[in-house]
Amino acid sequence: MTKGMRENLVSYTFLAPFLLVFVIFLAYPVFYSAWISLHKTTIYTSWYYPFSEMKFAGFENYTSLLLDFELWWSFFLTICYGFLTIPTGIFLSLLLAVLLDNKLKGKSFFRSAFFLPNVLDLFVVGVIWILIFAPEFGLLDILLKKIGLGAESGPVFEKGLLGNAWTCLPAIAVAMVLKGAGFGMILFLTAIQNISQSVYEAADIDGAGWWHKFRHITIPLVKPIILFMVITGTISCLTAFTEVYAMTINTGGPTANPFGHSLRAANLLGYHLYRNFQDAYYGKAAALSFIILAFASLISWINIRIIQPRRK
Amino acid sequence: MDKCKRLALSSALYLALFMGAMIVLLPIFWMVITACKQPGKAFEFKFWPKPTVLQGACLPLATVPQDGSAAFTLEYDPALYPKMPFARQVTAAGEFNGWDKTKTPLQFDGQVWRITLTQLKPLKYEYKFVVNDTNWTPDRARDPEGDGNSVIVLQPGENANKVLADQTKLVGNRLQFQINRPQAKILQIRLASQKDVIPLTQDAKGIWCGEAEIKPEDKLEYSIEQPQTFSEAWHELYTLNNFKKIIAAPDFPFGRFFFNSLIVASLSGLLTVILCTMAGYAFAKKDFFLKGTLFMILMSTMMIPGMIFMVPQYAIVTNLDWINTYMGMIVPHLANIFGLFLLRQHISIIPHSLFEAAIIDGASEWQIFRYIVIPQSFPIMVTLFLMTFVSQWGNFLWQLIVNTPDSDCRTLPVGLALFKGQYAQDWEVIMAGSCFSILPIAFLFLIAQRYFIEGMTKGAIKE
Amino acid sequence: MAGVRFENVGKIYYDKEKKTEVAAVRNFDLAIQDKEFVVFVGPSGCGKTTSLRMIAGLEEITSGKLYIGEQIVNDVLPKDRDIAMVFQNYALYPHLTVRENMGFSLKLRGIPKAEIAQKVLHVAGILRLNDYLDRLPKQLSGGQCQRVAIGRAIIREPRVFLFDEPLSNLDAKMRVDMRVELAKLHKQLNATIVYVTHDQIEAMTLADRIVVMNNGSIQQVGTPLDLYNHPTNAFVGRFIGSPAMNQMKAQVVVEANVVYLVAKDVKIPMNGQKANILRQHANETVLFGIRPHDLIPSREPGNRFALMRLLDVIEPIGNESFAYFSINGEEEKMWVAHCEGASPVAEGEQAAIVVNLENIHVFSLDETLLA
Repeated sequence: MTKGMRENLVSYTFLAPFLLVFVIFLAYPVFYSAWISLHKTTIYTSWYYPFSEMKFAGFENYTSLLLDFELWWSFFLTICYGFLTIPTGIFLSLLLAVLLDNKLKGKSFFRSAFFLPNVLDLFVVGVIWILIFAPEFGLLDILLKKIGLGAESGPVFEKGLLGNAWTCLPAIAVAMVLKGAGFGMILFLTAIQNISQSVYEAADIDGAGWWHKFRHITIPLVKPIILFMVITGTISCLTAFTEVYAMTINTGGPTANPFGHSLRAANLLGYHLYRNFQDAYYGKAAALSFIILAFASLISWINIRIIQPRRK
Repeated sequence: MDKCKRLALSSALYLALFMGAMIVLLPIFWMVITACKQPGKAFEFKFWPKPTVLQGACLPLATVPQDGSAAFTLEYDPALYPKMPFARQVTAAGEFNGWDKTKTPLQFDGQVWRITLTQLKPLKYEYKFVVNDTNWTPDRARDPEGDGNSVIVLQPGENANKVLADQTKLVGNRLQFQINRPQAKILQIRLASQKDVIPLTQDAKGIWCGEAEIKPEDKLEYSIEQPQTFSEAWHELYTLNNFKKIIAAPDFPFGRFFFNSLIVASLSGLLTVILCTMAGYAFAKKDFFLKGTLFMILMSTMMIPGMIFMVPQYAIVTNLDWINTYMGMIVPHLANIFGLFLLRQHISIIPHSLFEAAIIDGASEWQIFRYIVIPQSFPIMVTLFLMTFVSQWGNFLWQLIVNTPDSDCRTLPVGLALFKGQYAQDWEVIMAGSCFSILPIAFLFLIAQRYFIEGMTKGAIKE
Repeated sequence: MAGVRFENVGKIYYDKEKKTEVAAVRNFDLAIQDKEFVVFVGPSGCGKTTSLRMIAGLEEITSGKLYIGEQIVNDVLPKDRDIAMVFQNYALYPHLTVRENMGFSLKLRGIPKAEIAQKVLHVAGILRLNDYLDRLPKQLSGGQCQRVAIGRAIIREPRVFLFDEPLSNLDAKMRVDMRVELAKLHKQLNATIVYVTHDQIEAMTLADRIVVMNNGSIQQVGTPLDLYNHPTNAFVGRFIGSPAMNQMKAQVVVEANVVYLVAKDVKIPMNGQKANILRQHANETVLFGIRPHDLIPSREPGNRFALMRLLDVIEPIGNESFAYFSINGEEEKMWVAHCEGASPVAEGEQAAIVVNLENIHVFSLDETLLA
């Protein structure tokens, strides 16, 4: 056996377990999903093995999804959700990073405190926020009443923030931004601390003020982090599910009435996918996966173009 | 002057950071506080117990029936439930003091199943009807929107109960009572039908005693002035019973769920680390057929959002009969490509000569892996383990869909999400359950945050 | 113990970026005797390390045969070749103590712990490492690290020791100390050693025989003095010896039956055997070289042949001095002369540089030796 063959054999032995799982659960599913998306479940489909007896449907799943106003509503909501969470998230993380970028005592305490919510179970955190946003007796209502907002009795927000079609999505966004800010903060902090101190010293000598240093040194140097956060933020918005499930108690939020359609006010794409899945429209769910993937690719491409126009 | 300015600036900074930290950590604090509150106090805006002097209160007591204690009638009207008109037997299930379901069954009078329970202490009770011993049926009359769990609260609340319940006794048509509140300064009791206050005397032990003639359906009113001790006030607000309740809840196998979460998260972490380290070693230090192509394929898969794989992965898991199994929850996420790159990156900076030295020293491939790769990449393996552990602990969506609602393999968050049962309306108990999901991870993070932060920043900075 | 024999060994790399094949080692023929200390020397990229790694089995052999003892080892795995190697960057296992590092190979072979412990102590005694046995490599100095690496090699009692530039990561003083120690060790172990270095002083001081390599092929094999006195080509002449040999192109001119090497205003008469050989190359351009030790600056050349030159720089070392002067007025083309003790002529003065005509080396333009 030659050395090359031996090396191949050894390498593939080490790779085998990983590749096995990869092929079965990541590579094959891409094709399998395409197959599923062209089929649909019927009343004859077995309850226990629905995927073995699906009926060929052509592009029906795609057309019915794309022609349904609900998908575009979900898409619109998802875009809104993205605009609510991503810029605020970046702003908040950058602010925290700048505040923590000094020789403050107890800095590591604050760093841990801000980062901690990131690692916590999203579902449970969502449920806690229900408690905070609850009408009349929720923490938020009580605090607002303490500072003299709202009527003497009764809730400050009718039905609570999560029960109102206009405020439901922003309320979810607030909870998620507060949960995720620490992650961005760590990234920015690492990037800022990697900037050589001498660059700032040179700027000091040139007479640059705090703002100038921030605007012309810090921002350009953390730009890759911003791009990273925008792209990962986009993807997490497009696949947002658990927060909606938890905070709307698996309803998709209160009813809204855009253009005469009765739809849910927090029915984000990811959640929409889950609902199709939950109702056993597996073909539609698979088709929706590909539509989401298309949206994700499109938006990521636009992001890269906007933030780094000269990048090739 | 300059010093003053700097001091003011840093104080302002501290204040801002402190406020920020409080807001960010608010859900955790709120969860813990709520979990420790007495039942029913979740929504009361009280955190620090204030020993109060109960004063001049004039609270209505329970309606005093002839036998001297509260009574309640449970009614079940089959006509309201067209689905089960032929139910032959209906029983009530629930928690009532001293009520033995077998000895005192519901009576059917041709239209309504009914039972009247007497001698109940004023308390909060829950009950449900069981039709043919299999299905819960909601008590629509009381709870038109509800999920089957009916709640009744017998006045007065717990506190008054402590004062009065055990000590009231009906002798003939006279009501005798003893009130065990030695600290109370002024204690007045009267019956609603009478204007005069019943005179009370305090005996040697400090117990107030008195008696009065009573008519049926009369009401007892009292007013009291009594300083409360701090500990009394504390226990009025806080308790650890919620934790006990969730652990011991008969319809919520908490221990099982917690164990499942632990198993799924740690096995996922362990296996992911093993797979990624082996594959990472091959990619970092070996040269093999199709290495570049394979690398490209893996790389491009990393860009695809995980949710895209949900449907086909579910289909595969279904076809493999892995629904409701640990396998179904763990295996599909083992090929962690991010982890592979993390390990590959780390292993590729181990000096090549170390491997050659080991080869010359006579190490086999496996021994190189065992004695060089693992010790050298151990810290990053710990990082990957912790990251996988945390993400699988909270991988709600996947665990939700591969478990049917009656699965034995439900993890804690899924269990909480599908929480139906005795305490489903008790926020204090739900939050106690949530604590068991949140606090272990928070603790793990605090003792090992170096590893977390390293792993997360490495992934991003590389991009 | 055993010898190592290369039979027409070649190594061809495939350069993935340039998509071409690169020959790292060509037509390598060499027989290393048992218990011999052989040094491969050459500039970086000359193939010396590749050759060493072929002995170790870390590089595959593309063509030819390699013997260790009487066995062909082309397809034998490194662990079965019974060789030990010391690396340039020590390659100590960072997570193991000195003791464990040295005992690692024995542990892999399943040798009982007590025996390992005893051997480690023995080797540590030889290398004066007894006080450091429980330290980790990062707590040791460079020299100590290298001693551990050597200890790791000798504990195995292999047939052949391979050293890959073991001293180049050490500072100058430590390098001299370790060099002496290695020389002592070789006597003590009485083992076959193949040693790679780019430092010709190490090569000269340590080797029984030196193999000079350039561009993947052997230039000359011989004892240190052999190489110094009789380089078989211009490259070896330049490479061996410090300061390097002065070399220049010149025309062979025969005037009145005397053979001269002529380059501009330098005109050196040749005599003896060398003149006879050069006579056949009359009017050809050749390359000639003179070692600094054969150029002696003096005030009075007497009847010896001398070049009259201005001394630009004098470097007094103490027991000897080097004098630099430009030959043919070209500033960049400086030659070096050598004299014992202090230079008799001061800097900036005209000196008569006496040329030891016996030791002029003449090469053809393709660098092979003519005379």
